[in-house]
Amino acid sequence: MSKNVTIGIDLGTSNSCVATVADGHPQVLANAYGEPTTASVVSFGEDGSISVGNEAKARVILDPKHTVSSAKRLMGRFYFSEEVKKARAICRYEIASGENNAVRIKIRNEEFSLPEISAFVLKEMKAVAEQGLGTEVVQAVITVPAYFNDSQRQATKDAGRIAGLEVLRILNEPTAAALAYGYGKNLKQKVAVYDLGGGTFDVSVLELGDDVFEVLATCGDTYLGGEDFDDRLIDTLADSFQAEHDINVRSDPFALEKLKGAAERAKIELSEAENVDIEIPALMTKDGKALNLSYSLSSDEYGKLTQDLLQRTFKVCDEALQQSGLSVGDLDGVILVGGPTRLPAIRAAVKEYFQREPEADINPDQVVAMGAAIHADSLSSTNANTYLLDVTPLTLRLGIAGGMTEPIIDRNSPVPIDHTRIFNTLQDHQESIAVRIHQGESRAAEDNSLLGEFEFRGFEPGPRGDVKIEVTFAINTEGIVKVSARDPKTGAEQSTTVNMSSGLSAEEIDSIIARGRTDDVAATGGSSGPQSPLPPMNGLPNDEIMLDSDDDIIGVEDDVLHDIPKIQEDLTEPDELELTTEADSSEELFGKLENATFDSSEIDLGANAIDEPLSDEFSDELELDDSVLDDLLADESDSDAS
Amino acid sequence: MDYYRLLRVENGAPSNQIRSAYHSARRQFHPDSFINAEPALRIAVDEIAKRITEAYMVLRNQSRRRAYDEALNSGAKRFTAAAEDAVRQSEYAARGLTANGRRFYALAEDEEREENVPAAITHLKTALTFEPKNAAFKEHLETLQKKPK
Repeated sequence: MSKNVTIGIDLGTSNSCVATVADGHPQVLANAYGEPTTASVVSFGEDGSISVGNEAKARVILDPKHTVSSAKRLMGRFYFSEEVKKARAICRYEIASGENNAVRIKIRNEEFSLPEISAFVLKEMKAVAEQGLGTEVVQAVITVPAYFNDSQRQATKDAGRIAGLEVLRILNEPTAAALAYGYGKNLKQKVAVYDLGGGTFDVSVLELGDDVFEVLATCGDTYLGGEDFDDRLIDTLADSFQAEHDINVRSDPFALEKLKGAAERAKIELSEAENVDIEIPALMTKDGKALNLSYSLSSDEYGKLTQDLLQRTFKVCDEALQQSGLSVGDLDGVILVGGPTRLPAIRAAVKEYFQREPEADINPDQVVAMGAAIHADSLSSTNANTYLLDVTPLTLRLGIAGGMTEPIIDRNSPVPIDHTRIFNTLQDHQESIAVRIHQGESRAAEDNSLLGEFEFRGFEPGPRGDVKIEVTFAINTEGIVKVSARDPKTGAEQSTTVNMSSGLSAEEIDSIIARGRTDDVAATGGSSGPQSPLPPMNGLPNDEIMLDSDDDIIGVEDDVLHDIPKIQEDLTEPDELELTTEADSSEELFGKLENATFDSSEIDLGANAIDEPLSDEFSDELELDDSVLDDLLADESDSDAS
Repeated sequence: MDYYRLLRVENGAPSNQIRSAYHSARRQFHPDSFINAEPALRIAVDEIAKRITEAYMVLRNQSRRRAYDEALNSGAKRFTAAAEDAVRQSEYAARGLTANGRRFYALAEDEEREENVPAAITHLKTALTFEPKNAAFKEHLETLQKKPK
């Protein structure tokens, strides 16, 4: 069997990068301009042509209404989310609301979903790879910020499918970076990956032990990225221009784009120089006179401008270290990822925080794509030599009465994982429950992202508190979530793979692929490369793959294979699901555990309350929380007094 | 199959042994290694991998492991949802049982994170006025009072 060529794609907010593994070494594939990264920008021409990459980036100024940049910031988000509101204020292209509050980008009379926009970029990266390798490429690993939630991961996966890729895995960016760093070195180290991308910030703490790459903790902020740093500089320049000439650059979109470009160049120059002179001749005109902008920026001043943003990243680092049970002194290395980390002001601050020099020979723009390529290669090879143990970045929660949530799977739990908890109904003879799935760190439902919801019926109604429903949350190795609810009495069960929120349904994706809208893309970057219509997807739906040889199972010893059926059988021994089958001890144990559970008001499921405002009755239930616990306390004091 | 047998360690195994046993179990049953395998096998491996994670999550945490060992003696093989609730409840109780207790305990934690020990002590003492019997509070206060100011 000839080995497939696989690629790793770092789908970035500002820039994307593609790599492959050749002769055991990861290498980045340059675009037709010879550049290792390609702008994640898509521009729609009046004639129906679509350009991607650097050519599209130039059109941000010329045709801002029809040129989409930083789409990743909107991936998997609801139209009414804060991030989308913010983007609507900044972006010149039209952001519309689609079905189920999904975000759509409106270009002339056509609406595009976010996965479709990202698919244009992925398709360009695929073309870059095919051009570089001279062969067709189908299988890819695509990276996402570790802090991406389930909807954002699903949307990225959808984008890959639309682009005609078979997405082997969605991989976390910092994990990919650590993989590229430690690959083939047999390191025994604890490292932190500080990943400041264009639109997101992540930090992961990993322990590398020979072939095992174990993520101990991941924390992040999806609302903080290099572009926020850029905005600081843009504001400074605009303010200084206004102070001098009494005219606001922000009022002129064309001038503002010019200013943004100059700010970005200045930032890049600051990576090399201590001082940069920013000159924009004829930025605006006033009373028929051309006004120039000139500003001298020092590395120090830039550091001061962005100091509070840096402090925010270090708060996230504190959290990650605390979650991993390590302190700065326990680390053996710090890996910097993302273009902004090239800036001396940022490097210096990171060095001070971690009290060590960051790893020098790592290219922060390329390391993630290289790690993704290594993983893609490992997944398609017959002798895997690295094992990634990743974690889920955000707590998975179930919505309960009173607008609150109950955590089911804690953040930084290793994946894959599943967890079952038992919940009571809230009302007598309740016939259905709303199973709402949230992801985030707040007990209040509204402060977390809602991943999806479904209504569970078919259980046996009964008095409140008597009806027990088992709710199981499962997360696979890609961080994708599946939830099921079950009545242990009747065995009735219902489940969902959470992808409804702002993602596309399977049917929608199929129809997009069938329409072939993303085939319109004229591969820019000058690649006149393979533009033939794509052959049907190489990867059959996995369910249909039947293998009769063990060759396709990667590096698994025979005795392990032999053990699997036996272990699986042992795991489902009947006595495990219930407490125990022996009547006496079961009674006793069950009683004990029952008393020890939360008061039911803590974990009652809301009654069929999908769109109903919460009644006062519900709020009363919640009040019980404290009073019941107070009673507990009172009992305690009583027994002490006696 | 109980967690110790799944990870192939003795019941009383120390935590470092459990950790390395977890690593080798994860290595053997990593879903990545079975990405091209037939569906039935993939599902089986996925189930095993999830159970390995579960075993590790319980055995690496002292209070969960204690509760599990007890349940194991009574014939259970798996850490039950009810036992998880019990552990979560005791962890929850350690952070305060009354609204005010929780509030001031949280403030104390914030101050402690900022390394402002005297302020943390003040808040903890306030928390203790609402929950004079809270052993976890008392213990925390003692630790704080031993810290250099």
